[in-house]
Amino acid sequence: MLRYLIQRRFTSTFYELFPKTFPQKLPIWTIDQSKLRKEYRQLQAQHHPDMAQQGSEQSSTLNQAYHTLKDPLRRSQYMLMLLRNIDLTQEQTSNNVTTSDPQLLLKVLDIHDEFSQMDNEDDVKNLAKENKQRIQDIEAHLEQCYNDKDYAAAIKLTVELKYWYNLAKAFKDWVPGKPLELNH
Amino acid sequence: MFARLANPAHYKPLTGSSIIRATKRLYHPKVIDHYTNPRNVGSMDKSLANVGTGIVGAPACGDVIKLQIQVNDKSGIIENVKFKTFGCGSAIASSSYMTELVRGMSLDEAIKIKNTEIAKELSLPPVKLHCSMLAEDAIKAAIKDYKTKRNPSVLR
Repeated sequence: MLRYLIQRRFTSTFYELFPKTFPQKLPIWTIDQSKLRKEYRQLQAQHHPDMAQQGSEQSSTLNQAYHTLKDPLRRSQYMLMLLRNIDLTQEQTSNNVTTSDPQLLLKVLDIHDEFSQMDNEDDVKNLAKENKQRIQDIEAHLEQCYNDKDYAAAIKLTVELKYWYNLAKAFKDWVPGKPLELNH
Repeated sequence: MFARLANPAHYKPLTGSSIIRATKRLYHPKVIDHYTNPRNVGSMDKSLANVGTGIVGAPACGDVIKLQIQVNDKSGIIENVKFKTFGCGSAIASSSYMTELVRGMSLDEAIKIKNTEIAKELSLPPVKLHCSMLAEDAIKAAIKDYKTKRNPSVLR
């Protein structure tokens, strides 16, 4: 346990791996995607397994860090872990810190119902478009929460975001007549 | 590599549709059975006094289950069950199996069902235990909803 804490204390965060993009090294919500991508590519070029002998581990850490920070849901989950020590990707923890709003769940099921009866690609595209808007609204809201250090609201929104992400994935994977299933 | 190819067990045809085969995780045949042929899918009118509705979500994986029970007011027996689930194969199978299990049970029996019972029947791996937990939460929520409707003064 102690070893774990020491390790945790001295292990750099994903933010610290990109010093040009995050000179302050602190968990931050608003990020410059193109800057991050550029720095990631530069670092990968240095650490790529083909280039450096011991680069493979570093390369996969960079990869994980980049994909966590660039994705709003994963970034938010990661920030809450760093700032509040709450792991929303763990079923038990997330059940303890939040109860899902029944209205939200009903809405998810209703949209899913509507979607599962669709056989027309344009209809699915429309649903996907609405869903994208919802996701963007939450992202904007999250930015506000992190600026205001309102972590309770950030937790709630991050949980909600997960449900819309699942729907987004279902829309993306849509093939006429194919039954729905989530893989995770 | 060759040992693996030589093992005849690996040539066994997989049951279920091609969709199942394409998924990353291999499911137990009982899960595949409930997933490809889910029992009691559908909805009941939730405004009816003898229908209890439970809607639960798993915040970490984003699965949602709606489970409804229709109860005989006199005997307290669950006479009809319906569910709708948006989630992974294990969540669908867990809720489908739950509907089969509780039909014909009294509310007192149904409320005692533990997720381990479902997990065992479906041979769910540890990472999928939370799916059976979600099904347990769903039936409990449905029973609670029914009881609240029946006796609002006692249960607040």
